[in-house]
Amino acid sequence: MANLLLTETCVRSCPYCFAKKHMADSASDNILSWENLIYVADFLESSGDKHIALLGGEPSLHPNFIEFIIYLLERNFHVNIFTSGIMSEEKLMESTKVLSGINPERLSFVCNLNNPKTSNFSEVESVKRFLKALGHLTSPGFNIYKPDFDLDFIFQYINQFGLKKHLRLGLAHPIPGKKNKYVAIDEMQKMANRLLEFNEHFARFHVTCGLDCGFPMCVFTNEQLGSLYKISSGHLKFGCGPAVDIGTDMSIWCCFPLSDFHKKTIFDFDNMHEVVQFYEEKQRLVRGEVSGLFEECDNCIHANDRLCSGGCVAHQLSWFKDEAMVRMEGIYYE
Amino acid sequence: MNDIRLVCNFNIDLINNFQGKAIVIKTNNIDEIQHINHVVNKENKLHCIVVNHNGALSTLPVTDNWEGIPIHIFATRFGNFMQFIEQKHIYHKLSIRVFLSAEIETNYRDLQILSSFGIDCGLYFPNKSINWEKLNDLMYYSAYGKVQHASIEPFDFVIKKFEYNTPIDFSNVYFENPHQYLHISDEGKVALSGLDLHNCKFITENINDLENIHQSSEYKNVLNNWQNFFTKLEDCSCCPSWRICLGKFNHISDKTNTCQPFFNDLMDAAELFHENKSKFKTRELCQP
Repeated sequence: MANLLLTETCVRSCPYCFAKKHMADSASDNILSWENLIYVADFLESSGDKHIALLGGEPSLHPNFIEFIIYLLERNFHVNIFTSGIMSEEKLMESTKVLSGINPERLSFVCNLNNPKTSNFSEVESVKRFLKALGHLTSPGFNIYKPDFDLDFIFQYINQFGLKKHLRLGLAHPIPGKKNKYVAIDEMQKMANRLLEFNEHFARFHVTCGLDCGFPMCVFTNEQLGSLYKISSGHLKFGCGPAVDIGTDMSIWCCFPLSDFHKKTIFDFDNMHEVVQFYEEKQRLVRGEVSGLFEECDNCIHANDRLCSGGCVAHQLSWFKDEAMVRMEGIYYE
Repeated sequence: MNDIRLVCNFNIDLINNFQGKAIVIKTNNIDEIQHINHVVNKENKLHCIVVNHNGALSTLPVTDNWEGIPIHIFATRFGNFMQFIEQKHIYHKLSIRVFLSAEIETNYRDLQILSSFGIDCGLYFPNKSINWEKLNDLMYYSAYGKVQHASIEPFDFVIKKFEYNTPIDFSNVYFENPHQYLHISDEGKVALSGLDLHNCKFITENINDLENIHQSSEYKNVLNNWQNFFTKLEDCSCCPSWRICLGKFNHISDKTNTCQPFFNDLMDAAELFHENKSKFKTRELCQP
């Protein structure tokens, strides 16, 4: 599955934003054209892939937001939309009218939720309006960027708005060359402990959780891993692989934290397999230099067994940015 | 002249003059479509119904009652996407091809949308103003698209009918090639094209002459018009792609930046198609 950007503008300014670098480098009025949408749909279909994620910026800012979704659904794609949930009342009404009846197996939203205590009132109200209207199609998403986070409000939203009972948990990573908030390596254990404090909530509310890429396995104790296994319904992953984002101008990159790392265009590749192979190889080269976040990663049997990729590659690349270019040529930014 | 198809309005008195002819009927009234199909197929064969819809395709109320009837719709523009989507499933049941005007820039991408939905479509040129860059993009999509999609005319016609040593006339797509189509007025006068009919330029005013039309010197002259390009040594006579365009854009002064590169690319696509076709011949099995 690829992530396709519909816009390069966001309505929020989250302190941890992974897309900061990419957004700063892009013109705010860049939007995806119909021709490029069709090209990407063809590209994915020719790769045997019928899943697509739409994101931004804020994807609902695109003037053809609804039409694009319907187009992809009509071409039998499974569409997943990453949104802040913040949209005009008019856009929300229109989206609800057209999209609310669609089978949740074919169309889903991930609403990236920030703690309402740290968000402004109008933002929170707008998110609630969205969840009230399209909550049945929506999974909550939350990005951890500090070790003392709170998930209570998410369980409350799940109950209040009938959201899907699956929480997508992301871990904020450093963006090489840009400042954003993220969980520092020495705070990761604390973050893991905090996450597991919500263990009972997950069980009581029958909510599962999915870890996004970049969580290192060893920050959790064996006991915590056991609990995580249960609340993730057995789908535990500690990987860091290419998520593959495609920009409005058809540029393509590994994932948002690595948006500057060997950025190419989709036209350089024949299919998605080639794209994934290309970025996997680049990540492999980085890991050849530094295996993971911790020194122990070098001789870790779980890394050898590919159970854990040693955290997000963005950490290593951030270190390389600050040193002389003495490492293998392929790992440096083009 | 049995292989010549006739193009006329839906006029029962006129049609009753023909027998066993393949007929293209032009109409603006979609309510007549089933009736036309019924009447024409009594003594003749309905080749196609051409509907001129002076508006957006999305506003045209298509119906599955048209199933099995060959229809070409010429619409000005695509219109509202969501409105079209409500009717899309009907298009898939019909023997229909949709043409949009080359005058409107958004139509080039709308044809990609239609084609990617599996709806056969095409571009028509109501006047000579063409966005050559967008036309080229559309041709590339038609010829080199990464996944299977419905045909887009006139590119598909040129690519599939292309032969190395024979000129081809893509005006066939619009029922305008006088080798194959003659246009008949309501009074039974015969013209060589829709434009000639509109300008009352007839090659005969008597419909009974139709059978011997191939002997008419005027008809022969028109069919041999292409020779003029070479006797007058016009720009087009030096163009390697003349054989797929036949000088249709001869009026353009700056050909090297407009029609020539486009038709060269189209011819490359056609050549590649036929090379691949001969390279990957399908197996033929003996049928009992």
